[in-house]
Amino acid sequence: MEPDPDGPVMAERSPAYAGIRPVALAVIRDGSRLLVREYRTAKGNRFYRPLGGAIHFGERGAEAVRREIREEIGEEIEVVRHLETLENIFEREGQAAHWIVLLFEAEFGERSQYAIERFAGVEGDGEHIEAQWIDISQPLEGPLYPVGLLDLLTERDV
Amino acid sequence: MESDDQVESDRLPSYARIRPLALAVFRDGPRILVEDKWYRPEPFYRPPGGGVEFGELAVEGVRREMREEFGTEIRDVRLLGTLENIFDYRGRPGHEIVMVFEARFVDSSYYQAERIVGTEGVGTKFEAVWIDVSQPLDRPLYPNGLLELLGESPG
Repeated sequence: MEPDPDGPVMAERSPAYAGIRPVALAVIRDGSRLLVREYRTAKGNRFYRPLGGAIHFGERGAEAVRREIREEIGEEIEVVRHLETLENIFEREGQAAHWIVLLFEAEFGERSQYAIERFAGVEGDGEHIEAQWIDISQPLEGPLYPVGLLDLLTERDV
Repeated sequence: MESDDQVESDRLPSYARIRPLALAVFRDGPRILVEDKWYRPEPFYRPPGGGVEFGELAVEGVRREMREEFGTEIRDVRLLGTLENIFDYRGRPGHEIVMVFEARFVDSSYYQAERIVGTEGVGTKFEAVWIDVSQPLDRPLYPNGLLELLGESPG
């Protein structure tokens, strides 16, 4: 598709969509277990989010998910399907944020990968990464983001 | 996936930013409403809608666009699916994430009209027309994947 004839030219300097962050996340499940990364807010509050990251320009969401998981924990995954798109508009550390999250159902190629309890890796900036399984049928020790994901997986049973 | 990517993308010119779009598909049997305003570099059809703005849900974006372009309210709005559209436009790459909604006009006279006049943000007039997507089309229909999406969700 083409850009709007009246869109990109006018929008060159500061498009109204600037700041919207397209993200692709991997929903990797094993029964009621979901593979997530644990984060802490500046105040030290725990939250969880599946692995994945920002979609690069020119890259499909499914490719982004595979690349991110390779970079983050050094594992290969197979993307099964696009599950859902969630829009999260929120504030983070006082900053307005707007994410459009493409959720992809994904699987490990090897059964043995599901037996790994904790996956360790390193972020591009040197930050330590640890991914773990959480049981989403049980009360969680912190919110699961993006908002809407827990409902999607538990209520709508996708 | 934290702030580094975000900082990086903010530095890029807007043509190298992924553009989120929200489009509305109005159906009437095998017909859908498309904009007759796309001629570069070749004529093509696209359902009405436009860019999602920061802080706005796509469904709000599509309602706003229909208000701005056709001066009308819509109802029964539901998300049909998301299409990833990566293309080349006159040698310049483009990347859109298109959330496609199905919707109905509140005013049923829109379904009888042969051509519906719309207004761009800049005040320019254009027309939207009903095309029968069960027949071969005289122009490409974008975004790619739209017909398949409609086929998965019969109206």
